[in-house]
Amino acid sequence: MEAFFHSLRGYVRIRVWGYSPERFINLCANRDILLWDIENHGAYYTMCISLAGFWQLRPITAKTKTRAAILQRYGLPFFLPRVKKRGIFLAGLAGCLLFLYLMSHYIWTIEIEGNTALTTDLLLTYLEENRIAQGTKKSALDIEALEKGIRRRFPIVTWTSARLEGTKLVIQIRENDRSAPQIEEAVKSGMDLEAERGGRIVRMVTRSGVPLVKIGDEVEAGQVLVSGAVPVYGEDAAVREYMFCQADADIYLEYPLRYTERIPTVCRYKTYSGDKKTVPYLQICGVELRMPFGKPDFERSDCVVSVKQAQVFGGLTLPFCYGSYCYREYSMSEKTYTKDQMLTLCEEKLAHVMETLEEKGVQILQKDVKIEKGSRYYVMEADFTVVEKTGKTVPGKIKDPPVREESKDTGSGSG
Amino acid sequence: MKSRKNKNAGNQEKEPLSRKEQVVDTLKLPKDLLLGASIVTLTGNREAWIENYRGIVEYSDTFVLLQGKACQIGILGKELSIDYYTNEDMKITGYIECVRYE
Repeated sequence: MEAFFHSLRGYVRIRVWGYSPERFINLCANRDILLWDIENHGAYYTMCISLAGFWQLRPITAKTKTRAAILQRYGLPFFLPRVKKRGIFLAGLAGCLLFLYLMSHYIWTIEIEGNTALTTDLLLTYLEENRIAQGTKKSALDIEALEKGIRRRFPIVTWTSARLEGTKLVIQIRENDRSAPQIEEAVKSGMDLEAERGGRIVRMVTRSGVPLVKIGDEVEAGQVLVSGAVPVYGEDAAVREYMFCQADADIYLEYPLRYTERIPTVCRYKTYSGDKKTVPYLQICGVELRMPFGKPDFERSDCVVSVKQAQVFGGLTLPFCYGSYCYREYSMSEKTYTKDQMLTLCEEKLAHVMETLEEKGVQILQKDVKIEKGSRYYVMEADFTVVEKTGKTVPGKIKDPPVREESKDTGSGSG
Repeated sequence: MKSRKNKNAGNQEKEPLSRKEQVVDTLKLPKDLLLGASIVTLTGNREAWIENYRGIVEYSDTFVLLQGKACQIGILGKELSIDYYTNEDMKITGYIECVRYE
């Protein structure tokens, strides 16, 4: 930062020699003339001094019997007169700065974070309906109204925050796991937990609700495991009413899982010749400009597109995208797998499947793998015994409170 | 008598504090302000930051001699250069080998 201010005011690098350069340095300091990068070169010293300081040196050099000579000039006061003659360059520079200044008044990127159930396209369409898109003026944006609008339009959104970062509009949203009608339903008739698939219960911890199954039970898909209706018993041990809640439990099911993979014995794959052709690509305000003559005449080729958004000063996004289309020539080849190669391939696929299952939180207890060779395919069959957490929240099945006959009896008794 | 001699010998070894120094020490006042003591801050052996001095007496790429208010401070080293120099403070960079008070 200091260097920037030095450059703005202008400074010179000088050479000082003579009778007493040390005294010269001391006198400069006494007169508040800043010196920096002072170096001793034996017979002479070099140092940097501000332009304003340099003009005050004459009495000091006379007093200390030293001489000072400019070695180099730096900064804006020396740069400006040099470029004064280059009118077009200056006009271009000014035009560029003006363009950047004008462009910084518009939104050029919209970023949406935190959405899982609502797609980004859906939110962008909503924004477009409300006239918020690339190229919208920043001053026309009412952030509070936008936040309120998103919450009103999408009831699933419980919290939203919009902010401007340079020319980027960042919208952060937080979605509720359950929609508003579901919450109402939970209050009215409770929420049950039902099995997503059949199996045997191996572990179960109920936090709220009434468990309808126990460890060791075989359950079927769709069977209610924990009820959200908690019965309140009367003095006669009959159900007087239900208190509704959202059932909550950790239930683990053990079930068999079969995985089958057919792998063709003959594999077709791409062989790249190494010939590539890169065509530059430019997009201005959403309009794509591609060179008409650049496409290569390869018989078979695929294309890798790389696109970059133009940005200046870190956060200021400009309405330009640039990049390239890279066409790569290839030919199709065929290969028949050997037995060893096939075994390795099967092992890799199996490892990938097991990894995917573990990522989903599925615990594999046992596995039994068979690989059979057919005429055109190898068939791999893997039988797993797995343990997985289950429990899907559904609206409660018990809705009406039980008919209370005792009230009649009580009425007649008192009458 | 013997013990008295020893006591005197001990006093000669340790220089007695002046009245001003005693007051500053007792009241725990900042010595750099009241006694004009120089402050030398070393960062490793590559940087020295010095405050409270009167001026440079001698400067070469192996030796910098500064005039303090009470004594002279000599900095010995290699490739010594002055990063900046003002009336208040200065910064010396290079390979510092020794700081000497004269």
